[in-house]
Amino acid sequence: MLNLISVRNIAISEIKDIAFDIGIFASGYESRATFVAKSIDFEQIHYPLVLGFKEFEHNPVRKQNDLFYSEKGSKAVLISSAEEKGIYSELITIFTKLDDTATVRILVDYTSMARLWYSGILNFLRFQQEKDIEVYLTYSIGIYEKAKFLDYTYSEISSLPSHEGSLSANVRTLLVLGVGYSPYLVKAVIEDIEPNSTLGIIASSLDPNYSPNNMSDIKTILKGDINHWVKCPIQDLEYIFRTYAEIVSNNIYKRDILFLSLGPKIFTIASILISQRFESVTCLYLKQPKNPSINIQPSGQIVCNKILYLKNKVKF
Amino acid sequence: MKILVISDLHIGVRARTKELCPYPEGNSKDDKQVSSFLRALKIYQDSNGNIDYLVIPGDVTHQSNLVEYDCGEVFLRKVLSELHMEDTKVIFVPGNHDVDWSVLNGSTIQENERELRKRHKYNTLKDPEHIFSRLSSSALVAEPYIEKWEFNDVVYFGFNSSWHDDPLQKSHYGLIELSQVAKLREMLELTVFEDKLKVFVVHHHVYQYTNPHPTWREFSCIQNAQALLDLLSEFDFHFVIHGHRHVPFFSVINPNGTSTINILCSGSYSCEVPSEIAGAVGNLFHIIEVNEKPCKGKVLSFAYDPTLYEWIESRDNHGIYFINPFGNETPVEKILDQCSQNIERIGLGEKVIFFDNVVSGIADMEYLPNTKQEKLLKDIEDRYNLSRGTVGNRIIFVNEQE
Amino acid sequence: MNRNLFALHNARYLLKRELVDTFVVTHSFERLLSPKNQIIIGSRGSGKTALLKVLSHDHLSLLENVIAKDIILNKTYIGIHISTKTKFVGGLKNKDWQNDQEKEYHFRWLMNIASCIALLETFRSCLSAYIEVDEERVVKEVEIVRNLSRTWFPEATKIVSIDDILLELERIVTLRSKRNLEKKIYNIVRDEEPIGLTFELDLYDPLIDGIKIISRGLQFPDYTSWFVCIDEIEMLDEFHHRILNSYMRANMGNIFFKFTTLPYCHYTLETNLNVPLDIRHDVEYVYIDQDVSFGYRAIPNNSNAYKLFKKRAQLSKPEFADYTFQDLFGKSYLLDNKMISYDEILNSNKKKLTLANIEELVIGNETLSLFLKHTNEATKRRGVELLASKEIGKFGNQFGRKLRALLYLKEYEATRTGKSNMELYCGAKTVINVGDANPRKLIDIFSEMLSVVESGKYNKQKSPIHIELPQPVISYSNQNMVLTSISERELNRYRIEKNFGTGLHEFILSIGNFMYDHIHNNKLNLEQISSIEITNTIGDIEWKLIERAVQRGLIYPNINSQNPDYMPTMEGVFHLAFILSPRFKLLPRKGDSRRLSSIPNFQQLSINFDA
Repeated sequence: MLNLISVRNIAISEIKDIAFDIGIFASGYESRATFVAKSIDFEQIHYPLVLGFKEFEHNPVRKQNDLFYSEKGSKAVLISSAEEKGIYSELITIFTKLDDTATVRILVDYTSMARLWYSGILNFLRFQQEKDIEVYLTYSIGIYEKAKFLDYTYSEISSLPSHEGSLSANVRTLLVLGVGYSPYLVKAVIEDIEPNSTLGIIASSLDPNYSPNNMSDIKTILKGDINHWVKCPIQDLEYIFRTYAEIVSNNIYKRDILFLSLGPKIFTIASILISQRFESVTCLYLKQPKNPSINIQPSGQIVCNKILYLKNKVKF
Repeated sequence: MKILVISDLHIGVRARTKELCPYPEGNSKDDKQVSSFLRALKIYQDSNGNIDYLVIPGDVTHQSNLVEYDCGEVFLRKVLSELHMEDTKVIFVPGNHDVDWSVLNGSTIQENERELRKRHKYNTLKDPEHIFSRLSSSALVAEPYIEKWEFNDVVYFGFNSSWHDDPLQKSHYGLIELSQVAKLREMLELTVFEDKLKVFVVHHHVYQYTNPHPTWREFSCIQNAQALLDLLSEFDFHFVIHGHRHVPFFSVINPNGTSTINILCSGSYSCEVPSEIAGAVGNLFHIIEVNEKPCKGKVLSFAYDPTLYEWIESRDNHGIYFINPFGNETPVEKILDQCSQNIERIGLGEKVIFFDNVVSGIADMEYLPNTKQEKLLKDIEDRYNLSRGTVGNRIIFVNEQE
Repeated sequence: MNRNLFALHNARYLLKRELVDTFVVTHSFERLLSPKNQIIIGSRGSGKTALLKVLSHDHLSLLENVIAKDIILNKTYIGIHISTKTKFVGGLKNKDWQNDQEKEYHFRWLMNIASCIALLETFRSCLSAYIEVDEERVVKEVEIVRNLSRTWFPEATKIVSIDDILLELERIVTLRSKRNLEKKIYNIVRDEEPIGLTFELDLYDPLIDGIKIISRGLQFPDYTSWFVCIDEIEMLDEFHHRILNSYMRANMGNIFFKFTTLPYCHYTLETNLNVPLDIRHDVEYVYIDQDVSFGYRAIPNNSNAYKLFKKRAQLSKPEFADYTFQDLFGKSYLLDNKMISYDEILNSNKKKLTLANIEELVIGNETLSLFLKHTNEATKRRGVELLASKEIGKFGNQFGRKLRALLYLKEYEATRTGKSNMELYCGAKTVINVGDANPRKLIDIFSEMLSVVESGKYNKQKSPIHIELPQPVISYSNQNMVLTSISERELNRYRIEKNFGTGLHEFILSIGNFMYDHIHNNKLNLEQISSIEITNTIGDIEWKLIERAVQRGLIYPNINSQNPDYMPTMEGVFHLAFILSPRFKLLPRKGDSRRLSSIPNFQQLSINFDA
């Protein structure tokens, strides 16, 4: 098993010249699903792997995305958004074919991936033993239509597989909650989980979906539900990771720590990485119906991060 | 005597709190670290009495801009007011970040220009408008880069180990030339120490630590550190307080075999923690409590908890234990022998042997450094084939043969 | 030197102390102190978890109560508290690939670990309750821990304390989770030493072994019974309930189970033993909602609502602890009985009055003039008949008392201007009624009320126009403001609901608006509508909405007094929670009911049910 060493923000320009051993993409029902693939030199990827949602095979945008990837020579491997097992066998096959290099460089564009997919990929990578791994995460920021975020529902709160955390004797629980855009969804979730205290992670002003006004509305509605607010810049995984690490290290000996993000995926990514460093924390997610009628267009901005996994042991 | 230590504030873009970041970047940061620090000092002083000195071993600012020093002054004034302390009790030496990078960053490889720029690198630190120019005194920003602070109960010597530094250097290690060591010797010889505490304050490391992280190489040690340590040892220095590396550490060394020096690597008070060590190291301040002359006491370390906005007792996942006792110089073998007498008196037939009882009657156990206590425990385990454990707060031994 | 300076309080202890010190002993709690399997049923905030926690040894041993002290002293019952926390459940539900047998193994394994962790906390509590001398206690801990360790982890060494065992359990759980991931990735089972084999035994086996070791070590008497308390079993699935049921069906000797769950969330009576559970024989339901002892009582010491307030106030707001509800909230204009004056009618010289006479006479009499103004034709006719013949007693019985508050409510709503400060929802009885006899709602109300006084943001206002009272500590208008905002918040709390999206909110809104319309957009008959009636023709999805509303404390079933622990299913009468009455401008008391099918908006509800 490898050790998570570092999480860095990098510029897209830094990855444009890298020859990747593997590149993993998802073909979904959003236009932005291909934006990263179009922004880089696809030829530089030795083994591309395109994952396609089993669920939305006939969605027109999806068909376009599939077409784009197949023209690049990669046919989407169909996988249900509710499982990640199928990805493992694909990756095992690719890994056996890799050249004998000391470090494997992998591009993971999680823009349109299901949570179980990118958590599964990161866990698979961490589970390797032979080689050091550099993961380059990319996320294409979308143009959102605000109103669509108000009516959420969900069917269940579950743990991400292998991020269940440990059972402990702690009586108290701390929920670290990426608040997202619907305060009433937050209320429902807190009602369901009943944590002893909740830390609300709210994106700082850079998020185009917040105006100062609706931010204060959200805070007003959630008065009494959130015990502390912590601001995190929405495109800064390094910052979020560091903040999460501090939250964990300050609470781990007295509370069970649960992470859940109702907002941007970057917060879920951060919690997955944190639970690779601190195995006793739990990453939760909401099972929600997907809405293929929302075709999110790319805004043109790509968030890139470099995650380093090494064989060296680090004591935490 | 109580000495407050804060180091590596990095006031500017890398500070974790808005209170120490005088730039727009500050808007997305925490804004309670300093206010809760002041509260913590008040609580501490209310129940333990006043703190006597404040030591700041460098990197007050991140880029040595005047706005950063101004921000630092506001901070320092608040701290001194909370401590009811005169600024004459502040011991400050500059670090490698307290040089004006805007001057240095323009450096070319041409030697003459480099030299010119190097000469101006302390312009901002020396600006008389802010308090740090007075605190660092001219001696620290010009040859011999050494300063002395003498008080009734303690003498501090400070050295600017970044005096030679410039941005073309690949790693910003410290340096003390042998001529500077000689100068320091001169100054030491002229000093009347009596039974005062002797403390050396410097920014860089005085010995080579293990790499703090597999991807980080440790190149921060002061060149010629051995000569420096030998000298400090010769003059029976009790403490070295330094900064630079943001990973805190407390060690007790015995460089020339005659006297013991306690070394506090302070970590960072407020610089953002990088992802490599996030969760394993916190932002810290320390209080050195010297309870008995010349040098017996405890280092207490407090870490910032950004979820409660409070400074709490440091734990291992902040990088340093809350209490680090110092001053008991008895060799472990000797203490072990004393323990043996107690153990034989208690009898090995007991199911559980309490460590308290094993060390009862042995002097100065509360000042035994943690590393020595650990060795003692292990030696007892080995000598009597016992298993060690902790029940509640009590260390116990259990007889395996039971 | 004082080292506690920056010490974090021992939160675990504090939490316990607080819980115990504010705990109000109820009849339901006393029912639980018996060697029986029981399932506690209650809506959100009814105090299930508190009941179950206080039952556990570490809490019970702190409780200042004669019965509790006796139980602890004699070691009659030892309660072990297991929480099926979200993380526990999350780990059960994310393994879609498992078949039933694997699911059962996994559940058993997790439950065994969780119950042993809980037992260790109980053991810790027993040690401190029964052994006073510090050193003796440590020696005993080590002795028993070594026995436990030999049983639970035959291969492990160097385990001497409870904390060591906890660490070992944590290590095992983490290691197993890694193993599972490896299994999943590579689809292989490596031939390695098994992890935590003991916990793969039959459900509760490691727990029972542990109980035996601890009982022997601490020399517990033979009569000691152990309560295995599992909180929030609603989080589990029917599948898991079936397993749990099996053990309630079987004879477990001196072990008894106490579970908590939400209404309608004991999902099955089936067991794995071919015989279903027999309610009453194998297990008893204990329904704790609508406990009248938490309702309004004139004598403070008889009221658990008052005890709930006083205990909390003593701890955190002592300056209020000596006030009674009357002092704090004053009289309730809406609910307190108030004499209606008939002087104008009685003093009239005429023997028989006409409508015109009456209309003229009651001009200065607010109640009677509102009666004439707001009642519908039939009611008005009957009332006028009685007034005309001066049958005041009959009028009072039939209309007066019931109608008075409704008349004012309607008048207020009809005449209020945008910003007028209403002082309707105030007074002790109203405040307590709005709390629905639900501890969490009551505490919420109390804390908000006290914070309003403290903040001083709101000036003391004059008394309501109609009554002259000494000013209560919390002004009437502030009370009204607090109750109105809490009411609004309670409704908003469920704007989005698991599986129902916005459906539950719309459902309650349609019921509340229907009840509002009945009073405020129609002439009044005798009563308000406060309940809905369900007949057995209700559809499954609609019934699920009813269940969820009951679980959330938005509606409450009318309970059969002969059988108070049984919940009506697919039929029955349910009243809208009084906490919603300020939101919908209703009286916080029961009135008439209407069939659900007669609520017009309900038909158009778009329920995006997704279960």
